[in-house]
Amino acid sequence: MNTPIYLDYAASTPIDPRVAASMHQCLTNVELQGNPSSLSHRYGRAARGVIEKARQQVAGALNAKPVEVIWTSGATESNNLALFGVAHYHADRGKHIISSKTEHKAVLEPLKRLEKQGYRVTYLKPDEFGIVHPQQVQEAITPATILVSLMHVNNEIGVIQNIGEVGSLCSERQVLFHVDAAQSAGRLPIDVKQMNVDLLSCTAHKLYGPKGIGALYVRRDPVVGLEPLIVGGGHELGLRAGTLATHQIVGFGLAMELMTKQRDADHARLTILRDQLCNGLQGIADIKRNGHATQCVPNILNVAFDGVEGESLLFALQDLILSAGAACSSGSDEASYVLRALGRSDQQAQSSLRFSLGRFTTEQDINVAVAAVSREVTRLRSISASLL
Amino acid sequence: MENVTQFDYAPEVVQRFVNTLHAGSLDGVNVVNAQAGSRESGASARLWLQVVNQRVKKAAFQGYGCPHFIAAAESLAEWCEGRTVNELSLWSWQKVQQQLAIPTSKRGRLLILENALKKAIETLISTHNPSS
Repeated sequence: MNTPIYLDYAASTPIDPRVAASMHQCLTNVELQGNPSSLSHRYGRAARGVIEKARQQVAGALNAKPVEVIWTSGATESNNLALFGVAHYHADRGKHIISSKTEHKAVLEPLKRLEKQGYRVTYLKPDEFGIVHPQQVQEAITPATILVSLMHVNNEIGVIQNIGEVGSLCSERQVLFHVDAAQSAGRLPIDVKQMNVDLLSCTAHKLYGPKGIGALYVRRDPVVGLEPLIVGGGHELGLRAGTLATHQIVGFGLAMELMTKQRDADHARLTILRDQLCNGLQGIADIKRNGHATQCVPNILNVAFDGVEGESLLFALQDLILSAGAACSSGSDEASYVLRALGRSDQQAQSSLRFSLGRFTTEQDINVAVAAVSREVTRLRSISASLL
Repeated sequence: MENVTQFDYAPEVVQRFVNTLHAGSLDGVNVVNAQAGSRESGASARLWLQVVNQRVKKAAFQGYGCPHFIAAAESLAEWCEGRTVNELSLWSWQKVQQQLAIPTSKRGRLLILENALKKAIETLISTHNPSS
């Protein structure tokens, strides 16, 4: 059996060997084994030192201050902390939140729970390309609105939202603005100050770092009030209790720094590979690209293959590692809610595949992928040709 | 709780899905066909049977659906070959579910195959007994 070709970078990226080496070094250096909160001895202070270096690395990539970076277990926890934290802390100001129908479940599920707690949530509908227009946000804001939460880059279709413009209009109206940047942190230039972002979620495992570590940027000037989800020893300025995972944080810091350093080169290379993939797939009849052709990241391409059942196509492409929908929900038989929000039928949504490329994808990988998809789409269509 | 997830397939499912020996269509005077299900519902199949002297000489199918469904359709077509018309009603979706380890949540798809077979049998009976 051939080694499968990994085209699921949007679900999770492999760890960069340089990141793995830094984590290994951290795990095997006895001087870094102290509790980073035990500042009374040198092992604790040494561990704290590497954590603060990583905090600078992550903050630097966002143009944030290190003190504004709170470590979490990943983007899901960051989103939960941002949404529940703001909603509960600012409940006396209002109970209205604005978001969109195409957010990740890590935002939608907390919002559903907040609705049960008496909050009102407006879910904006994106246009047919997946874009939420700032004008929609502006029109939805009411005096009771306390928070707008939008993702920077959609995980299924790769569409980039106009975060700067939304941030600006939220700032003018004194509405807090949270951005789920799980797919964009390190990959796209982010300046939280210039973009008027108050809270921003990111995670290491989408940028060649380890799973299980993430961060929430929380603006400090002026400070954003936030009620913590996890309480205990008062870690992370009282916003997230728990002993810090030194090696995870070290890996995250380096991964973010490498992403930022290689961003332009990665972007250019991935654009070429994505276009090669897109052009190759154009040779297959009756396909449709999901998302926007230009307002998108170069590493995600989502395509609907008319007349082909999605689960069968995914299974037929066993030599390719990719997703029919978002990784977190791909165990579900349900058609993608993101694609349905774009106006795709259940059948079109169910017949769509997400190809996501990354640092280790090669031109040869793309050629093999195009040939395999073309072959299997043709085969599956041929055995269902006469059916209604 | 089922211990088979949507993406776990028994080896026989894999083999039948990859090698669909009966995929295709048949034509000719002794051929009947019947369709059941729909693409909208996620599963659809058409079954062709060529009957000579009250016995199925050849069977073929076209199918739209998940690997379990395609494998089950392939299995059905193979099973039909060599059976008499009277024996066709003995096909059991329960046996196929067991044989291919198809999750309970997908039982409805096997009923689509049963419907296609039943319709084909009805056509065969009416064709061979036009006055009845």
